[in-house]
Amino acid sequence: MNLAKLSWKYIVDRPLNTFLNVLLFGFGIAIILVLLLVSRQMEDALTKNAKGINLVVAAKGSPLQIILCNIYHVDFPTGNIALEEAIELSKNSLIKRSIPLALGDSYRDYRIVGTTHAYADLYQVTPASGQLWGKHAEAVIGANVALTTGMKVGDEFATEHGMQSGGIAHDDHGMTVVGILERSGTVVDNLILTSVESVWEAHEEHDDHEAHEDHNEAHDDHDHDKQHDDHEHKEHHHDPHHDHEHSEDEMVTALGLTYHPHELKDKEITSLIVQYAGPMGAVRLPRMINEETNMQSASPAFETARLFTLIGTGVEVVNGFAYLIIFIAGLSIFISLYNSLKQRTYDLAIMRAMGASSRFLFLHVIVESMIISFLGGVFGLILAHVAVGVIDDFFIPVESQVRLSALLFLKSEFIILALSFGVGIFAAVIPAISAYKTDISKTLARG
Amino acid sequence: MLSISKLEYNYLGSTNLVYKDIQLGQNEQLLILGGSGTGKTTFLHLIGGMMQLQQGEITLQGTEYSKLSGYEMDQFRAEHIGLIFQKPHLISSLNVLDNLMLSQMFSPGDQDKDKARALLQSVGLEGKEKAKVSELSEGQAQRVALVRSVINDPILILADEPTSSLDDENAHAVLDLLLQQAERNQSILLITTHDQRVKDRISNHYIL
Repeated sequence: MNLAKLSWKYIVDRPLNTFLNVLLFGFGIAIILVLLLVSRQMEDALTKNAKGINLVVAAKGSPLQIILCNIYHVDFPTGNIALEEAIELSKNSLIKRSIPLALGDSYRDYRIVGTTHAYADLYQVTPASGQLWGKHAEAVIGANVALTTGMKVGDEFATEHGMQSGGIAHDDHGMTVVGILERSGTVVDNLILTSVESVWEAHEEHDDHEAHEDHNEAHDDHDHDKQHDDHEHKEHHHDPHHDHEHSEDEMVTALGLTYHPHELKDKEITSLIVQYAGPMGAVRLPRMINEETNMQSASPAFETARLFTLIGTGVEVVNGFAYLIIFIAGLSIFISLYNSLKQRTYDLAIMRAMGASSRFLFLHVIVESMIISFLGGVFGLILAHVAVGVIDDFFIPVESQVRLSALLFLKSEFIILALSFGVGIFAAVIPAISAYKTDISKTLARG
Repeated sequence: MLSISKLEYNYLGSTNLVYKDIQLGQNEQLLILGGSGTGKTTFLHLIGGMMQLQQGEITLQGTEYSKLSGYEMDQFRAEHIGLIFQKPHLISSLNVLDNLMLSQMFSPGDQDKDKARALLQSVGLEGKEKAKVSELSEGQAQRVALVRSVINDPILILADEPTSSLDDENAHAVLDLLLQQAERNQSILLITTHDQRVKDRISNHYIL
């Protein structure tokens, strides 16, 4: 027999009371921990996706939309920006690196992102099989895209115009999968990457058709025919050996993109991902872009922080409720201890008569509460992690950017457990003091 | 050796209780008689060290109670004094054996389950080790309480009306066992009672 065993015997002697207390305690803790785990993992996932990106430059519009569209690939583009203007901006000495993005097409709900190899480099993704894309109609697919579509290297697919399935298919514009990226846990897992040039090609063809069918404007026709020629011309040079630098003096390369100088005025991209050369970039670039150009800059750090303040209020409210539940759990422990001690006064007096010190009785009550809060804490911890696992399994699609891990344990979880342990001890203090003060003689004399 | 000298106790606003000096040696017994309100229980509680002394001195085996702190008195009681009451007052959350182990826990020595089993056997409660307290009859429970009071081999056994809520058969059985255990340990035995069945068995009386 020892102190812990004695306290434990009293706990199991009141199974319903114990069950209620452990349940209350556990639920309070579980709610806090689930919120903690989910928000932390969401934040981590979002931060990971925006890593290394200081600024996104896109067409005028909502900065939040720009970030959601160009980094997390969930919202729609604000419009296009002129390639000429983007190139001009990229020459700014405050910019270390700029990566162009051309969005607008998709395949089975997966967005096709026209970009350069610098984008793969930014997310540090490499092909698990195959290789990175070339200039013409070659695509590299993310791990989730490969998983759900079952496409393999060498497969062809028709891109669809628009960002949701059901868009107009570019029937005549097939892409070939040349590589599958290894899983990175970032948004890239859900993307199809290709060259900006390939996206342009698809759209020129598409626009061509549209022009013929809908507009019938002579000027347009002429313009597009010319582009079409150019495109064929380019194709001719690309297909054999990618040796355009030798053979084509007319071609220009900027931002990692290759185009004819006279095309520059017509070319557009969706956005430019920017990395600053130094801290001065953050001070001067956003203002400069917003005031002196037709483009709009958006900072991922600022916009995600703004997003979290919006979500944060809701989290705070739920958190508040959870702390209230823990407080009630503490109160419930207090009441049940207090009540049980009233019935146990005689037990306590007998123990004193057997030679137990007042200190022992004090500890006996405290330990009892500690065991209950410990059980509640462990129950809450298990419940929280199971809940996170269940949320991930049943409510979050495999290809979601934010996947939750039930096995992630945070340091702050243990701080909360310690805190609830403290609540348990605190709840027992008053009953423990009354146990400490048990008057043997008076209690025993009452018979 | 128990020695009581010039012992007095005063409840606020009540009469002063004055006790006579008593000296008892090993294996001696004393029956304390008196109507209710004469201070029998107070006397026993004072000797058990469960009440603060006001006047006089109690010495057991050379230890003066007035020199002990509250905590030391608890330790001393755990080691040397066994108490038994009118009702068994076993701890109902614990089984029979655990009730005995609890008493051993407070005493400095090792916890000895075999000794507890042997004592249970000697009072006819063999096989009741794991029984719940609520499953015992009043007589059986009182016998467990008896074993609990002697399990640490006390120098002094204090029994407060130990038989008054028992029927004849159980009363005699408990009394027999009490005397038997006191003899085994050569303990000093003090019993308060108004039970005629006890008066007939013990000749040394102190009437309050």
